[in-house]
Amino acid sequence: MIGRETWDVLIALALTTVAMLYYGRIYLPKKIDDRTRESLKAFSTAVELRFPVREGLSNRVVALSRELGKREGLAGKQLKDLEMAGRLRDIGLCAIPYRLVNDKPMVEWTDGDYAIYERHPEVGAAMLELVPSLSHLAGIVRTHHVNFDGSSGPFFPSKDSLPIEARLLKIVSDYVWFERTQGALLARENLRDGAGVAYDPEYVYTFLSMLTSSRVTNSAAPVTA
Amino acid sequence: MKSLDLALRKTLIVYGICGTLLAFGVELWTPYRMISVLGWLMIPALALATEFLPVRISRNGLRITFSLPFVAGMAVATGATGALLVDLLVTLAAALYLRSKQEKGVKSYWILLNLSVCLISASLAGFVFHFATNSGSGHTTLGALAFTITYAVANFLLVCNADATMSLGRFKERVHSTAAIAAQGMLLYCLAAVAVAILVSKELYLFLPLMLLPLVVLRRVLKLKALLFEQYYESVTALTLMLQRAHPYTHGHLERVSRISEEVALRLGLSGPRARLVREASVLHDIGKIAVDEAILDKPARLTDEEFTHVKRHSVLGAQILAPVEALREVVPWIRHHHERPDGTGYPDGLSDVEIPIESKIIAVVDAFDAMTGGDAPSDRRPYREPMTVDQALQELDRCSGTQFDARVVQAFRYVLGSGVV
Repeated sequence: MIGRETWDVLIALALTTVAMLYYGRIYLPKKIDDRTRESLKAFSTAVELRFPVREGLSNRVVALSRELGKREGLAGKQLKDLEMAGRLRDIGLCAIPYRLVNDKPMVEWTDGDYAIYERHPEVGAAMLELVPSLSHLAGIVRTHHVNFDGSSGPFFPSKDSLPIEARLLKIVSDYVWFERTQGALLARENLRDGAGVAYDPEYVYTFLSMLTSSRVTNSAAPVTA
Repeated sequence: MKSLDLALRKTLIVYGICGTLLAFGVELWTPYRMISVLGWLMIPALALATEFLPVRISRNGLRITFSLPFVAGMAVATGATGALLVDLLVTLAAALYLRSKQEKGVKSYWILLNLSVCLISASLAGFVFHFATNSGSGHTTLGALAFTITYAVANFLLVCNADATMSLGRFKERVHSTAAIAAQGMLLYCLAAVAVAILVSKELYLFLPLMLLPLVVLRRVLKLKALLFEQYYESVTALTLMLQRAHPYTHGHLERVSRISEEVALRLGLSGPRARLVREASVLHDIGKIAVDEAILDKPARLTDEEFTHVKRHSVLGAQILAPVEALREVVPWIRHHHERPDGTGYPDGLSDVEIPIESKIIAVVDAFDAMTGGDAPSDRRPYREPMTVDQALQELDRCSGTQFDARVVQAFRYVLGSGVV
């Protein structure tokens, strides 16, 4: 009933389907991932070229937040979002005046200067909202400098509405900045002091224990300025 | 908006008349064969099912559906008339369903357009099928293959044409971008159609649902490919957004002028995809200015040597920013060298005429023209430099051609500007 010709066609169809299955399930998702990473890297490079003090911070933030996310049980899309937000968190800095960051030492900053600087999460989030494939990260970027206990800024949402990615990112990006400016020892000290106030205590302790395990320091070595 | 409506209505009327005439032709010329009730139920049902699994391949709502193998199967079973009927009903049902689900977006002219596209492509495919099977003594494989390919090609061209009319883009550009997404799936699509045709001709209707499997796989592949393209364009947009935030000026003028740069590239004999890349490069060429002090760029006076050295960094920095993006790899050197001059006095590397990529030369001319005719950047509106008229700017380009600009590029630029293509 089923002739030879039919079998030939059916087998060819099955083989092509399998090939396409590989293409759509493994090859293309990986390619999309790679492409996303590359273009996000262009964004963080732009910010780091504008403000050379921040050179290399993004790579370190991405590596550490990925590790921390894994330890806190994040996986799949959530982990990827955390990583992407780590790259994109500071793109709002491109709207911060060049001379404020590059020419004026931070100790001389006035309240007004700080107010300008602290707009960068909002600016970054507003930019992301205009890009359909990244707009889901706007919420994380907007709140990545918000204190855990609600003691910061007027735009603070309630504690429960703070996304877990934003809480993790706050810890990692603050740590990396302290590490650059004050050294690793003082940076850890700052995190310990801020636990429960600026940072979610649970995640701070995971992060601190992660930092002292040798595996992490090897995989994401600090970049010194 | 008025002209858009008019163009669309014209397309709709032409499509509608052609479709109706062709459909009558099919009705009169081709015979109808009776098949069992099971076949009549199974094939249209599967066609309907696939019609409800569309893939949106661009932001303006262009969708691909996968009912074609089953429509081709219908042609094998009952002849072209049956295929035409099933295709029409299935498309109508899916369009009405879509409209009832999302209140806005799907307008009635869109449904009519879809239906007339269906009519034309199904009738053409029907004719081809009729002749292929009659002359080849009832060869179902050949017939189904002919039907599928004719239908797909006709449908593709008609949809691209309608899409180009609607979004005021160019037909060729649409064909390129849509084909890039859909081409790889064609082999699987044809095989599925042939398999359906064979199963139908042997009346093995119960095995037909198995054919949904390859179509679902194909759907995922197309979806991801569309995503890949979308992401590429969005990252270009996002980078220009960043530049706008660093130096608040609208990109409108540059956007317009970059269309000219694409035409210039085509005029100079570059291939279509490469010209398209030139266009993107000319939108992105100043991306390095993100890392330049905006106070210097916006300074309402002549720059000191030191300040000028600082601003000159932007071409190198731009290349550095774009370096990690694989999809823009070719663009990186063009951006690095867009301030080189044929007489060898440009920066950053002081290349000589033959060493400068032609794409950089195009960007240099477009950039200069943009600045002279009053680009939107504050730096282009310095008090000591009034914006020029187009004629004055062209004279200036002529004056500097051979030293600052490439003479051929300036000529091509003049031609494109004068021909009114853009």
